[in-house]
Amino acid sequence: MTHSDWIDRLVVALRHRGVDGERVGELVAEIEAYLRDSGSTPDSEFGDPADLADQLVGRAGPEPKSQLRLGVFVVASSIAWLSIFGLLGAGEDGRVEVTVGLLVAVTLWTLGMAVFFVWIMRSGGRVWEGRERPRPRIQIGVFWVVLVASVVAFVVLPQTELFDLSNTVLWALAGISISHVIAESIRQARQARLSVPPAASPHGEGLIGRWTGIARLRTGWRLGREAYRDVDRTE
Amino acid sequence: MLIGKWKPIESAVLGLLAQRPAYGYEIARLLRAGGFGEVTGGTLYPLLRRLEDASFVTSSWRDSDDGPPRKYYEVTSAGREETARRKAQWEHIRRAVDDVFEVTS
Repeated sequence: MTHSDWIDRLVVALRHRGVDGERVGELVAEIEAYLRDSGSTPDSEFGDPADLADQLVGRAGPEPKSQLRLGVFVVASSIAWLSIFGLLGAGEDGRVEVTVGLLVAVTLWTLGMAVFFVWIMRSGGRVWEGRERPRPRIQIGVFWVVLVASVVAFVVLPQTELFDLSNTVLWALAGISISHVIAESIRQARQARLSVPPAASPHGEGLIGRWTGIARLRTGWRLGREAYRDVDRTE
Repeated sequence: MLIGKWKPIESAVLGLLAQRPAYGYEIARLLRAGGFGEVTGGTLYPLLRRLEDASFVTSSWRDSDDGPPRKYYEVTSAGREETARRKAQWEHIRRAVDDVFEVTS
């Protein structure tokens, strides 16, 4: 593993565990300073980046707060889209009838997707770090089960009207959920941005202002390709 | 059992920092010179983090006379109390081991 690859993996491992960009930048600057003094490689001095991240953060994997945030984000996104569809499909009187089938289908889809994405978040990190075997067929299968169950619920369950939603309510739902999605996206982007204390700036070359999202995508793509390369042969 | 909980490297780091502030690689170098063998960054940094979490040490980036800035660690007043406590524990352990060797020699 090259020096920059090791640093990238550490950055990704720390961000996956919910460490904000400011703290990540400081940790990396300190490690860079240590390696400059010792003249050794990150592998030999610090070992596996994921193991080091576990010890520095005190746990393996994302913190419960991050998982809850992702779940709420997915629920808000689903409500936003469903509200928009409701507005587009509302009757002439501007109201949407909510039937038993529709309510169960929407609930199944929204909660199912929230659980699915939190599972992907936890599992993805472990796969990237080589701690879990990838199971893409199971993951795709679960997605389809949630989708089909939602559609079946909508079609099969009684079409008895429970209540109706006016345009005003749908606009409000759409507005609230889209606001949450935007605010959470901005918060995540800000938290992910690496920064280094000014005093440590000589060790922050290439880090200052760097967006961990890019490191995460680039490293995640590479790690994912490595992890999934042999899946077809072993499954 | 006391000796199992004493944590020699952690106690040695506290003892070193109680004498004067030091940065990461300097701590590793002093431990090596003190006979603790090679202490890698992978051992040292989680240990320093635990000491910081327990408020026994604080850290700050400082300019250095011989190179780029470094992050220095120094012991707090709570850390000095903990160092004294561990020193007393070590005296107790040392006496117990000395007594065993006297009996068996």
